[in-house]
Amino acid sequence: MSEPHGTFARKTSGVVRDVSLRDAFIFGITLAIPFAANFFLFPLYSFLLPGADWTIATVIGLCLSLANYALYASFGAMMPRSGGDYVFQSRGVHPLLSFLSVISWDVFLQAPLFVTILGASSVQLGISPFLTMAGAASGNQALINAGNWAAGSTGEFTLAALFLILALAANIGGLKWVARSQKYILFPLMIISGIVIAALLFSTTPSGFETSFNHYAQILNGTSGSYATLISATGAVAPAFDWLHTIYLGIIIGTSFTFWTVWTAPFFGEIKGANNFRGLFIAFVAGGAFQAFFLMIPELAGFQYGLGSQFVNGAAFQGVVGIPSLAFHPGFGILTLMTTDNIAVMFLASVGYMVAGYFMLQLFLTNMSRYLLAGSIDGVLPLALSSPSRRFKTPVNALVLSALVCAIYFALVYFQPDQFSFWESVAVWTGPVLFFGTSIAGIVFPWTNKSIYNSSPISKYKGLLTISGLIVLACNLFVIIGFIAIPELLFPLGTNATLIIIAFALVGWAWYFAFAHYQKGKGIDVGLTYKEIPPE
Amino acid sequence: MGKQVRILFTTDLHGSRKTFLKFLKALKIYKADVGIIGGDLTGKVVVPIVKTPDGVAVAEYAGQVQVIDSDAKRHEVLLSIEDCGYYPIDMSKEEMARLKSDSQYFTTTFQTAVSDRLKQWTDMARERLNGTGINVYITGGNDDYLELDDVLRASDSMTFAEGKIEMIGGTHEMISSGYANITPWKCPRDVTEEELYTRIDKMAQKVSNLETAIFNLHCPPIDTMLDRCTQLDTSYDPPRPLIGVDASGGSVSVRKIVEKYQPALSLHGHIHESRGIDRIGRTTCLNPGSEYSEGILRSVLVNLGEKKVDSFQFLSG
Repeated sequence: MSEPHGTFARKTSGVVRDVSLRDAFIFGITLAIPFAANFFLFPLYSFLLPGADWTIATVIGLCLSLANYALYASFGAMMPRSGGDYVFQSRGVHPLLSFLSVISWDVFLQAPLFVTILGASSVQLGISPFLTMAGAASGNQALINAGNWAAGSTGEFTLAALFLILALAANIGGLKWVARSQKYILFPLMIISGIVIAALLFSTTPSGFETSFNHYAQILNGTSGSYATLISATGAVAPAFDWLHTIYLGIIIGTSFTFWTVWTAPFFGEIKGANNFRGLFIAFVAGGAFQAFFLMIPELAGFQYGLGSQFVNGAAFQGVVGIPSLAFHPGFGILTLMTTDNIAVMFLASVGYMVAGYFMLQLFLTNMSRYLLAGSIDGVLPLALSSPSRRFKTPVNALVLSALVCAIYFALVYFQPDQFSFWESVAVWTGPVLFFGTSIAGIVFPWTNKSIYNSSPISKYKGLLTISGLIVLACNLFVIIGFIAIPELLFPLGTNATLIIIAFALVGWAWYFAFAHYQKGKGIDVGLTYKEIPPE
Repeated sequence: MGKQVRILFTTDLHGSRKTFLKFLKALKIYKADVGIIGGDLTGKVVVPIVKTPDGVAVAEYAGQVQVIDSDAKRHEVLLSIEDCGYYPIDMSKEEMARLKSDSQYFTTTFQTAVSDRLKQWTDMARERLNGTGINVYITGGNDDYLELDDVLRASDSMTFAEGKIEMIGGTHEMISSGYANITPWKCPRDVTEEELYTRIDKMAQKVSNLETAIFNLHCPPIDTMLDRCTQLDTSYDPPRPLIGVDASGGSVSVRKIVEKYQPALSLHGHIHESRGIDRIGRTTCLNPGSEYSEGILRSVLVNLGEKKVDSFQFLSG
């Protein structure tokens, strides 16, 4: 931390310069969750929430995210070296809450599900559309077949597994490779794809797109007039604007996407070391704003503008219900590429999606393993999970376990394509669980950890931590309750999802108490790990 | 399990009154047999408390201006400053100006404040440990002035362990050193790797039973889970952290020593953000990290059996 005004620091003091605002900004935008929302929003949430305005919803989501950014920036400034939700919840509330929400639900359910979906997004938004459309534009059936294979169960599993192996290798190799690849590969390619996608979509019109769609559908589906057939399945309707659906979607976008910029906590060690609420908050806002205003709004608005609301509505229906039958999946990626016949442009539009899914997979793997590492060091998980690679000094056992869990979900989800929407919704539904625990920790922290709170720079912002925690909690509760109570969101979850959530909770609790009992026999009381020690 | 010794180890308290008091309390709460403080006892910042013409005093630190207009307020502010590991010093504006311009005066003032704080700590330890039967061993770290050794040596409540072999729990010989390899800040006990090796090796050679020994070495071994830190750009003063670039801040010599002698346990600090456990051969190496400036006591409780670590637990209280 830098020398405060009005004090004198020794030269030999270990003081480092504050991270600059510029560094914080750049760091934040390189760690935005890229493009994932576009995969989720279309077709599923377009189908569930017709009439929702995606642009307004994204802005709503970003505004709600400010509370989450303040929450995490506060924790980061209060405890700059503590590192992550696991510690915030353990210290703020109880180690059992953090074990439940972080280990049991997040590491073993929510994160691997997101990894699975994100692996699919790389394929469905990037790889498969490019191969298919490059084949259609060049008359190369082999490429079209490759694209179809990639989008099928075996293709998705194979490609996602390949990404997983690469991500595992990168993580075992060390965080510097993860961080550098994010800055020098992901970031530029995301920018390129974002610009090209927006340019393609805004330079077409619904009538122009109708011609393109019919042309490509003839090649891929062997049918003519497919545009009219598709929109007629929903009565050629352009849903009227719906404020309620827009708000619902905004909350989902917030909790599932723009909130998640804060999950890059492991990379924020240097900014956290600056003990700087402002730097952290700016980094999070930069990431969220970049995601919203560069990776989501231009592409989503362009999609509706260029393709027309009637078509988007019809394509969403086809994407979820499967009527009319099509030989290709009319997803966001492939429909965007239908606006051009230039293969090079198609590649530039697709490459961002290809790498985005991979990099998110890589980041999730990092975070899953770090939570396992923290749990192991804290004595609630086996010690083997904190054993490092001799060569690379990374927690290899935790990384391998994380990858294995992801691989199991790959097999579960990819080979049940008719259940994909179900798992997609479970991923979104369990998305809030991590924030749920941390929001509760934030609300109560000024009282449960008085001494840390009162001595931190955050205490001068009276009520900030508690209020931001309350807002975040409200958003999360909306998703958790809404998905089982709001009619529009009921499909396709049902009782099974609830049972899954409860089962993971029960198994987590059982493990916690059983392992704590085992540790007690070795002279370790896990209940003491975050026990506040009174100084007097 | 054979006879077990329960050790509570903390490090890098950097002058934080609150964290030191927590350590003394924690010894009883965690039922430790022995306490070990691993060095870097010196805080980093002097906070002038300056009287203004209208009779109140003003202190400025951690981005806040505190106006001291009563004894109660003064007590509150002093404690708050000391809890951060800073040193509150009453001074006039002229003295403050001299602190800025006269580096020798600054050093003398600082060292006096540090020594006074350490003496307070030895008094606190005497008061709180009296009758408990718990021994506390303490050394300086690389960030500590050499003059502090005299203060620690004179303590009757804590055992100054630097450069000596102490017997822990009747079974385990412990060697201690607060020296470290050269850092960008060229601290008082930063030495070359060769000197560091010689210094520690000399002690290790005198240990009669290395199988049960404890190495209490402030600097962690290089290329382990205990020495991960951010790469610094030292062309700036103070150095600038390079975002996303990881570095290894530990010592080659310490690693060689642990590899060579293979004690049962090695305890380290120095890299505050690198809480972790690693193994070098049969040696369990631990660094509890440090969060002194937030008033959080980071420590590790070790249940040490006759020849190996039976179990350990990282604590954050």
